[in-house]
Amino acid sequence: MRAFYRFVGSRWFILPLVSLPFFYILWLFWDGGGFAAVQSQEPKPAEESQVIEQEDESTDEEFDFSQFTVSEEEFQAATGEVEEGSEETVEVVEVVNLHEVLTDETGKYAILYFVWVLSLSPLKSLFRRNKFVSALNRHRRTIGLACFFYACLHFGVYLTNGWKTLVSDISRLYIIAGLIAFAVLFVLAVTSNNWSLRKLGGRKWKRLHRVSYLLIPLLFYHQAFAGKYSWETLRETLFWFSPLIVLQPLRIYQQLKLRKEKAAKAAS
Amino acid sequence: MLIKTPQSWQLPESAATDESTYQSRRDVIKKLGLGAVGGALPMAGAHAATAGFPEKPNINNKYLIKDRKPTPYPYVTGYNNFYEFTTQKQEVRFAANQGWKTEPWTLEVGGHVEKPLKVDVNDLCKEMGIEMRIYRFRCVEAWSMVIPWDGFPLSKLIKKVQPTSKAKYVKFTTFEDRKAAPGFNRYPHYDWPYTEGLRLDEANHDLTFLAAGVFGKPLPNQNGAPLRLVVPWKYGFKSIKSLVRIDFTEDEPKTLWNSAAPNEYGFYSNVNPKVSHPRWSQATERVIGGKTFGARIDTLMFNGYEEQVAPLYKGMDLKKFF
Repeated sequence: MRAFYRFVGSRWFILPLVSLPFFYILWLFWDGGGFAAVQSQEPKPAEESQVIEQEDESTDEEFDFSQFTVSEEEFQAATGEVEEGSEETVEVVEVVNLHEVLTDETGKYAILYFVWVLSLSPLKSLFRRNKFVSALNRHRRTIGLACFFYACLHFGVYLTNGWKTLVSDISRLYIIAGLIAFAVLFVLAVTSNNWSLRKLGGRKWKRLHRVSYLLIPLLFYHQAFAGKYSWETLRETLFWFSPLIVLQPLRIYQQLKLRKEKAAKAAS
Repeated sequence: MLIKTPQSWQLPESAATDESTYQSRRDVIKKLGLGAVGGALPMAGAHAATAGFPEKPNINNKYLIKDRKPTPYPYVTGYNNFYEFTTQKQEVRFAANQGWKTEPWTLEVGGHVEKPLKVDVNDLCKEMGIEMRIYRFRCVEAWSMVIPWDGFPLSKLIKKVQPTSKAKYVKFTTFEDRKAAPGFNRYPHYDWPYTEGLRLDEANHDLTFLAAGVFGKPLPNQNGAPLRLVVPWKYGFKSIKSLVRIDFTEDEPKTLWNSAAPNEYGFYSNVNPKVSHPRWSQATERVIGGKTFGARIDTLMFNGYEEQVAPLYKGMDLKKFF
């Protein structure tokens, strides 16, 4: 049993857990980036052939009909009615809007590790004697850095939208929330090392890193109101943040109780 | 996927017959990354009207897009917003083909008209004749496609039913079959059934199109079989799918999205890069089918149809009437 806890507290446990999503994202990018039969759609310059504007007849000579029509097989594949054992197999597109998926997935993983790292100390104070929880708590730095890593990917993918989008988006509240959160995460990440701990001193460092609690409402807002807001997004965000919503109040309550008991003891 | 919210569109056991085995087989195939739909996946279920589609598409040369290629068919049929089935755009193609019958289908036209109509969609298409038009399609979510639709202009139908002088607006209603589509019960906060509306002059404009097919084939269920509206200079949600009723009304009809979020989705919803959605910019759009990084283009005023439709809105404050 002791070997198990040692394993949980070791890098062999945590490194795969924080890096697997990265490989998944790489695979998504590699494999989901297209569909075998599809060509990249670059905006094409105007065609040379002039079209007679007012006529309603089709003009066979000028147009390549194949770009506007599909085969019976493609139609059947779209409606899910391909014949059993058919020779003509048409692949299903795995990912249509890869940029959207990459943005969402990197964001989700950043939130996952964020929620995880902030759940660790409440778990420790609530389950003081549990060895599994203590073993997990050794990974706070790694998980926190993983959160920042995925946040960087998320921000990076977003930035590839171009400066025009960024400039017009910058007034959106949820984007502002995300930018502030990223800035805070940046500061926390660069101070997540022993050198900073020594330079700042334990108390100051601890106080600085407590700012991460402020990120909870910021990131909740960012995720819940990103893009097309609906009840579904809000519900999903509640689900993702549920460990924090449950654990943090519990821990605060427990600490208040302890403080009261201490005060009562001191008084008696 | 490692982290995925549960499939919200899966029908309960009672509704699924052999479709449920189709579903689990599809899941297996997807998980194995094989991706091929063909082979071992027989599907019961009707598809859309097959009326009057010409051998070679009858392309209307007035409506061609010369600077962009049409979006590949698998994207057009595999990336859809159809909340009656699911909110997951890439799952609609499966959810909508779980036995939902879109043939036979009746369209009713009523309200302030001289000649109200109740007609089978197939017959209507045969009567009106099918032409092909290539239109830009711009979703309010800031992605866009170029789609070759097969159908006929709405103005032809309007001429047939002869609206009276009382008719100022046109209201469109879609299906509400709670047994066929799980979205009605799963997303009860929407004011079902989905309705949309146009001003009569917008409806009569030559650009306003009733589509029965896409890419020369009947509309797949997920694209709004058997008949849908296409209003290319407005955001995509105004192009209501799977029409059951068209009514000519005196007052501005209420629409589902306007009821859901009136400060975000207006009645007009004209594509306008200068008037942003409250929560995101409409200045640019992502080309579906384009490269993953860098396929954003500038949004065009009225989605590139400014010359044709700007006169409709002369003197109108487009920020107020968004």
